[in-house]
Amino acid sequence: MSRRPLRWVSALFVIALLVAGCGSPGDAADSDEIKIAVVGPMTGDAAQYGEDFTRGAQLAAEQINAAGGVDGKQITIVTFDDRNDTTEAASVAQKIATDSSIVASMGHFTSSTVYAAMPIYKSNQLPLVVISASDPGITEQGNEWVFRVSPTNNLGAEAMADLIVNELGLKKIAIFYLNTDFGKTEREFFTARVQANGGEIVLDEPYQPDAKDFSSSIIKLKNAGADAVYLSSYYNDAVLLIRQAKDAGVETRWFTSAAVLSPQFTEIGGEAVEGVITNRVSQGDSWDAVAEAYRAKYNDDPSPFVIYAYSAVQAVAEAARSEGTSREAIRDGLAKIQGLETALGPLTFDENRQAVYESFDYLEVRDGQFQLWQP
Amino acid sequence: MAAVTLPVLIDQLVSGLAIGGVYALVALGFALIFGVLRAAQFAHGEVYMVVAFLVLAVLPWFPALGALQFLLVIVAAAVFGAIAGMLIERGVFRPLADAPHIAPIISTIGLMILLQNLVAYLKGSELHRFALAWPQGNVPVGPASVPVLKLVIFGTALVIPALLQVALARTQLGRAIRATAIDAETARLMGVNTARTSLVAFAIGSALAGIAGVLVGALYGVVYSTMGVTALVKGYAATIIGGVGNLVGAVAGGLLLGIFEVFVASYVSPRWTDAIVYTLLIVLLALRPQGLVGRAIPEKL
Amino acid sequence: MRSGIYRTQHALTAAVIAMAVIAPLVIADAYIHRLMATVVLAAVLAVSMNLVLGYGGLLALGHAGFYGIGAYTAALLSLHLGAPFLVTALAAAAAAALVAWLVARPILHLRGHYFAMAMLAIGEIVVQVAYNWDSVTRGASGLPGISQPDLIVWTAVTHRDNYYLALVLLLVAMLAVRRFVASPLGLGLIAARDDDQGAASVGIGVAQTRTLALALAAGIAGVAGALYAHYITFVSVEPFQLEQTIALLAMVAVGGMGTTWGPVVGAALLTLLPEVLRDFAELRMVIYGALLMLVVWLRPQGLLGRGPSRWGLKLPGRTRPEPSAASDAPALASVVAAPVSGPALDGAATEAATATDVAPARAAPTVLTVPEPAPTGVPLLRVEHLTKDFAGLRAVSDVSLEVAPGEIVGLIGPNGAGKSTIINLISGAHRPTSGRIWFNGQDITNSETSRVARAGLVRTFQHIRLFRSLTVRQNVEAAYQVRLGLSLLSVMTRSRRYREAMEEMRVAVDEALALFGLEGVQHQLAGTLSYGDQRRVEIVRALVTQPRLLLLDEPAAGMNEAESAELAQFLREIRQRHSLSIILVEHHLDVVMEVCDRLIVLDHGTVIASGRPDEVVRHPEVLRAYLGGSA
Repeated sequence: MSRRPLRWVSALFVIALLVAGCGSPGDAADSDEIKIAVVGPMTGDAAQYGEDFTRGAQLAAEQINAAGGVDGKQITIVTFDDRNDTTEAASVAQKIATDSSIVASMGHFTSSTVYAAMPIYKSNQLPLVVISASDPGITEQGNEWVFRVSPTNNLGAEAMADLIVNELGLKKIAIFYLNTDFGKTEREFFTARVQANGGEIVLDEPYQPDAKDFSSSIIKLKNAGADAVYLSSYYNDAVLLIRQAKDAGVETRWFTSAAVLSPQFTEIGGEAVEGVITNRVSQGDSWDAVAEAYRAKYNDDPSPFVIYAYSAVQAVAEAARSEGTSREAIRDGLAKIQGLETALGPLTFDENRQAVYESFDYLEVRDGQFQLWQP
Repeated sequence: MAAVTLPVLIDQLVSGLAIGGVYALVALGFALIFGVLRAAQFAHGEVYMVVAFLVLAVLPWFPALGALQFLLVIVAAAVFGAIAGMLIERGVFRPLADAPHIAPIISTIGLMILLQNLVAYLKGSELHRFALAWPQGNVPVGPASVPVLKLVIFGTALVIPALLQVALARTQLGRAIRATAIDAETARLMGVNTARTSLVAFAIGSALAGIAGVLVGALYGVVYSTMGVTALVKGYAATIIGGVGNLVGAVAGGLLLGIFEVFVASYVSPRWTDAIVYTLLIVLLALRPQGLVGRAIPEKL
Repeated sequence: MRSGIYRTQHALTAAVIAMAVIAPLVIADAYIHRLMATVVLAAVLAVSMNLVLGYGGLLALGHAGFYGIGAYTAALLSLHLGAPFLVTALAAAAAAALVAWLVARPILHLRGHYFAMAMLAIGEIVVQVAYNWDSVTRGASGLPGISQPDLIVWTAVTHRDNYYLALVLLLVAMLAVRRFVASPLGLGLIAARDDDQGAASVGIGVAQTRTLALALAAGIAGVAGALYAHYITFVSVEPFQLEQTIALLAMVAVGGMGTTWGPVVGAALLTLLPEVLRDFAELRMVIYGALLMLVVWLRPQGLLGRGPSRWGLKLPGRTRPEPSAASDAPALASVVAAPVSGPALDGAATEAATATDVAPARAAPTVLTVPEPAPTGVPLLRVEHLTKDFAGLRAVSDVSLEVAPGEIVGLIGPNGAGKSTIINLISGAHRPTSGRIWFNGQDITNSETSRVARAGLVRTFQHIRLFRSLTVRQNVEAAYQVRLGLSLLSVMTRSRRYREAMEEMRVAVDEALALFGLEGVQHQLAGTLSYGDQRRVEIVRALVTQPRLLLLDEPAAGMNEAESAELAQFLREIRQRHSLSIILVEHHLDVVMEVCDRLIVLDHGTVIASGRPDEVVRHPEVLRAYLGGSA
């Protein structure tokens, strides 16, 4: 066989390796800046969430830096794309961890990507602040390098169950849930609470993550006799489901998990999603203030993920201020946080490094916007 | 689970026929291209997707006048699809005519990756709203009330293949296509311009994919950059179910696949639908290797 | 000259391996180590895919499923039983191979795209089961906390450790594939790839050989899966989907199908490419797709594949087989040459002497040895009331005939008379609608072609079906090796049994080639010979299986007078020497008259005359059938 290709291909391989090897990061930590990695789905189906993370983090960094930074040191945000894929998440986490100039990381969108990346943060001793993944197990693993500012999914699901059954008196409930860890755990908590409150689940329908056709499930819904429907879903599946149901003539009240909160939901949903009710951790004035700044900059309302990201940066900044700018110092500083004023209101980590939440708000889609709502 | 009543069954049947109609068109296009060029067009699903986006882009310029808009959409989809098909035939398949069989397959895989990500780059990878003014609403069919849209989609999926069948049987070009599909070498020797025939077959096949793309866009109300992948796999499966190279089989396969999916999702579980469908596909192939409608393959080994 | 290239190839390989070993010691970046480990893991998968796709010619669109089965098996054993890597790897290989074995049998008789679809379906089923069987696989959450690769004396902890482990796996995989492909079993696989009907006609169990290859490939993929599970310590469904299979397909095709290093090069290229393009963010995959198309366009046969590139616009991409007399011997030929005693390399046709490490050949049966003569007085072949309907058309109608041992019977008739159909029915390509076929005392009515061939009834084809990517010698060997009955184990371990068998084959094939004057061209690719020579090769190939009955389908087609005369002479000789019976379907009446003891005339699917040639040609029915008018 022609030996030329093998020769130059192997030569290319060597060159590529050398180039990659030489160009590797690992610069000594620049002591004038505090570099925080933001990692999430920057491309792909869930890119919206990655964007939320980035914007929230950058906004926080800007505002903190404008007010003098952390003892004069500027916060720098660097972003990484894990494409919402577990293998990629582990790979990217490794990349982040290998970069010694990065002192803290935040993100990974789903619980599975967090699970995939967690061991790497631990073995490289880099603090990770989770800002969306909601599986309660994450902070129960005993991994002392993982913190979470976002709520676990049981809280929101239980709040909704209380609303629907106790406050609105709707007893027959249908639930559609995404067949992933997120959807399944939410469903578990929701169902348990509904039944504890004396309600009844009349239809329990899972669906695959990339499902676009809900016709068979909707036909079942039509005949299930439900007073209310709860969706453990992300915004794109929720939108499709609700539209298709409305098109098929289903009349009922719609309730969703907090993950649905996104301008995309109302944009694509249009008329069909008017009246849909969801929940969110209670916002305080600090949240509103940040939302104001966000609106001014991006001309759009921030989703909760923006706020979680913002708060995470605030937490890291505070940790750096109190304990120092090395990775261990930041970890120690985070663990000590009690009642820190953040966009989320007072932030306190419990003994599992999970942020503590007290109350939830309800939101309704009205005139194409999510607006506060009371039963 | 819903009680099995007649309205429910009708609902389910109509849903199955609607999505089945989409599969049928994709499969028909795939089968046509395969039949004439003996090539598996892995970028077929991306044609479906790209055309849907192109039509979405020009949609604001169409008068939102009921059925007229619908018709314009179908025509635009066919035109965009045909152009895309011809570009692919000339740009990708023609240069690899003498290459090993695997080469066009890999090349179209590359094209598939390219197109999917290009559209994601240009338009974003989230869902995009695709709304037509017509058809809307529901209409009674027996004791059930079904969306007009689904009936229209199913109807389109019947009419267009029927027209195609007539064209293939009655026109000279149609005969040329059929001859080339049976034996390209002989057809060439008998004076058929096989180069032109390939081009036309590709154009028609891709036009069908484009039409399927806008129909599914209307059906779900959204288009998105990864929608082509499912279409490809389902279309491929439907072609196989019907019998490779068999056009009627491709349509039948698509419809059957759609109906089957809905019924399995309804009566067994939405989670296991894919696994069950694929298992039955294997069983079908084991028992009847030539597909449902295909002619028996005589050779045993 | 040959040894010169051999040395260069050796040196190059050594250099590459050395670099692969040293590089991670020089470069300290853990991220690079991870990258390299990923590349090597991909290469293992690509090597296994190449076995099925490149050498086997099977479009295995579900291959990533076997990777997944291996990974989940290892994960579950590790998590529930605390099993160490060595155990889980073995279990993973076994599980994947078992599944491959089970699913292969029912679908391997499917051709082309039907097979591809069935494999795709299998891959999808694996994914769906992994995704939905929550109680076992935890569905979408995946299985975290798997132990790192524990080899008792050493545990792979860092990325570099795992890289080396993967490298070892890669070398083992390449060796295994190489051994298989270079063996007679591999010959059978490649023969089946080149022409499955031709392969079956000389007794090669096409489905069995492919199942074996698929199981072996699946086993390798399974071990790769086990390594993945322990390396990443977390298993979920994503890496095992269609996307991954498609990537493997591209790797193998871009690297060069059916070459030893092709899959490795392809894997390296297509894994590193997205890395290099990382900075392009969203445009990354756009560029990837474009580059893939570009590579295929420039070099459709793959980077390491045979044949010229397209540097301009006019060069066709066809792989023109070159005669091996030139220095660039075709890759495959060298791989499949006579046994070599070390990792041979592409481009070198070696005929390493095996005499030193094998016991002297016992008196092995050769082509010359006449098989036990069939009992006289009993017809060798008896066809009773054979009928075949094809969708309403009756091609063969109530045909009965007999052939005695040592007889040459001619089967003639106008076009469309049903001659080819009868051959197909007798040889097992078609199943008769009704009637019976007895051969050498066995009922072969519904037996498949390869079974019939192994029973001693071998056919040739009107359009010569040689194995075009193999040399003349290899074509003959592919047919001969059926009788060796080698097992996968003996092939892999190069056992004594294997070496003896190889020696036996070498002697026999040498003799066969010499007997028929083909030793001069034995190392040329079969497709490069003249038409007449190709015919001869086809018949020799059939003869080495020691058939009792040869079915020749228009062997004189396309021959001129001189060649036909030669053929006739040839046929008489072989009948004499090997006590064969021959059924000859021919239009060249000169050959027929010359050679046949008896003629059977067919018309419209029925026998219209039978008897001595000189009588039959004067038969009024026969004349009417051929000339159409009254006698």
